[in-house]
Amino acid sequence: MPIPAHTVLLIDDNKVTRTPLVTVLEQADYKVVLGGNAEEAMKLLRTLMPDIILLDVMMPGINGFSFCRKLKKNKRYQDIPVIFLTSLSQQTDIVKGFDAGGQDYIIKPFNQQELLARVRTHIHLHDTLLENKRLSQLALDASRSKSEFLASMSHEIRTPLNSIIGMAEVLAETTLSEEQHEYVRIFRSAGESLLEIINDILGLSKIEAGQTELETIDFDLPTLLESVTTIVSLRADEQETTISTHIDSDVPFYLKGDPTRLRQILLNLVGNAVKFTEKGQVEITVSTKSLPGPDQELLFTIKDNGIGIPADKQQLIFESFTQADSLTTRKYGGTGLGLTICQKLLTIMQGHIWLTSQPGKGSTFFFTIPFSQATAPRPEINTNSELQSASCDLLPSARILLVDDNQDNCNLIRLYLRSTPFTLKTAENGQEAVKVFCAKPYDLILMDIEMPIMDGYEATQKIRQWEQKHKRAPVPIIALTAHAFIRFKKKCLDAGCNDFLTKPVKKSKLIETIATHLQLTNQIQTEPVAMAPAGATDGKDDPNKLVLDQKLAKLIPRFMINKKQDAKKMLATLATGAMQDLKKQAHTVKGTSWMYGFTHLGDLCLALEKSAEAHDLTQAKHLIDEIITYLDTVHIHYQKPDNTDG
Amino acid sequence: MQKITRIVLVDDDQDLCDLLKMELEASGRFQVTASSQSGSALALIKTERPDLAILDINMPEIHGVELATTLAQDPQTAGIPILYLTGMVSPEEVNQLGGGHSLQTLVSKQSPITELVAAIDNLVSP
Repeated sequence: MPIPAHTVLLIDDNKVTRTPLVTVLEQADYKVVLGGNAEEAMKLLRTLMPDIILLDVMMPGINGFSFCRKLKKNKRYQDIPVIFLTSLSQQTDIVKGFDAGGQDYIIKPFNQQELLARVRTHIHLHDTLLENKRLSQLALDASRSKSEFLASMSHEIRTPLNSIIGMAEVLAETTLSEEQHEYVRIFRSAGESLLEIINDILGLSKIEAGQTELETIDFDLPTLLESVTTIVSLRADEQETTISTHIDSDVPFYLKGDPTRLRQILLNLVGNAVKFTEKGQVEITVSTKSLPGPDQELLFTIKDNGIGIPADKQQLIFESFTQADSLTTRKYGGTGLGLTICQKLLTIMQGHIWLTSQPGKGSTFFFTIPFSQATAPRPEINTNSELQSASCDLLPSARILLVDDNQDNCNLIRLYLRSTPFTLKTAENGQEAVKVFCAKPYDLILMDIEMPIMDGYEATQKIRQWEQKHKRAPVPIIALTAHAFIRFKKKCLDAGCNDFLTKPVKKSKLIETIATHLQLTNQIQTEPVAMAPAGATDGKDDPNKLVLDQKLAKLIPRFMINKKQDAKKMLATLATGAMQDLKKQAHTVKGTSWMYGFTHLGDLCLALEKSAEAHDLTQAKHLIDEIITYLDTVHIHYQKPDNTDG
Repeated sequence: MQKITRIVLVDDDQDLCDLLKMELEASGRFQVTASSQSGSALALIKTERPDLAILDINMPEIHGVELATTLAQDPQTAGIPILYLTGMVSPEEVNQLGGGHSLQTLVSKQSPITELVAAIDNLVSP
């Protein structure tokens, strides 16, 4: 017995046929609402939500089929079951009724019991459908709140955790006994593992909360693959596992898509393959599958001959926090979130992932991703740096010594500098760096600060002492450190470093900094000038040869870098047309340049100040260009301080 | 033994701050607190209570003369001599500044350091 009564909307223009029907339905405890035609029914539906509609076909005005089609297009009514009730008995009419979206079709005259049975069935189905929809919405809501909760929790945990790790790093730099050092090391590495787990959880919960936005940008596939293999190659080398990459000839190099996510997926899968393969091979293959239209699907295959995965676990491993067994976790570590993240990302990217595996023989992971080919291939194969493709050819060749105890960092920097003319040699700690450098000096040093045995401060001081003793020009030393604090920067500069970069350093920034310092080395000569006139002198005849007091040597590299930046800022200001701002910028640089003894530079700035005031854009542009050229070409010689005390 | 003169230097260019701090401190006679943040210059001078303040004039956050006027109005800082260090070159520019403070001098950034040192000595010597 339906409680509360289900509502039946009966739409029929014929009183003779509908009256007995109403009686039958009301006897079965249905509430019946009558509509004399389609228009009238439409009006009723504005306020009424019936559980089922019984619909005549042949009516004046809109007929039953059209009415049904209209109803099914409307989100609000489309789930209400519709039963046609008609004397049209042709096979084509019946099909027409179902095509219009009707759930059932009863031909008049009909058997009353059959009609009631059909009405009951459809109402039951409808109730079940509504209940399922409600439950699925509840489940979605719950999942979303869970993900949102996780995302915010992870963030809340990450912030203090960063402080804990940072403080452990600071603590490690203080004077500690060997035992204490070991404790701090454990405390740091535990903090870092925790951070890694939290980052994975955060990544996953962001995906689940639907907060992942995909990029569509041009990128080149070979470079992306190479960056992935370079990162995992360290571990592979340790395990005597080889990694090979094969890209089918019909795979386009230049693609449009989301390189960051693709890289993340590949890093996970290739990283896993290496992790579970000792003394074996990991093969990465990329091939194409054509799709209709300009889109293509790429098939990536990552094949290893490692430990493999038992058949009954193969689907399980895509679930969160699941590895093949707990023994795996203990032996190989990891959160078990990597594959879940891959799968979720691929779902968003409209790709698929699957695997074949045999325990003891190895696993092969496959995934597909739709991509479109980038319309205009870039002129160079080298990518991922705005600077690199533009001016790599202009870089001088130079020998660089990288001092860093962390192999991952070394690999990354090696990768960054791969397509430059720089040759890179590495030293594992400060002590080794001093030894290597003093045996055969380099053109530039990238110096990590936090290192075992001898840190970057001490190594820099030792190198500076050695240079003084051997009367050598100071080599540019660029400190690399994870600390962004000003006091660390000061400490680096005090130790004798010329510049300071905070990890993680961007490729373009690294190359730009190296290039600037190499250029400065060529411009600045520390050998005393024999015939120099007394005092800081700006050669009146040739402003491009500048003689400065030796004691300024420490400040000049920074001055040059800052003034080059100031000049760039002036260009930017000029482009906006804010001449008053340009005037102020020129005024500041002018005063400082004069005080440093850069008379010509100061004079150029004075002229610029005047043309900015006069709104002479052409002259201003010309002067800024001249300032930039001057900064790039001026040769600086240092003169020993005057002993005569003039 | 000569007394060490404590100086606060405010100029919006960090390179200039670095240069003057090095140059002045090298003589062993001065101790320089330099700041390129003109916005916090007033607070710095109030805490440091230096023997002398060297101020740039055209600074983004506060005009040097305005800063000096504020200092002159506060009894705690009114006695601090002011040395303006400026890139201004034309007499008209300089004349616009006006007076208002007896213990003040103006030195051009075009002058050699020796001139700056002489001006400092002139202001702080009894």
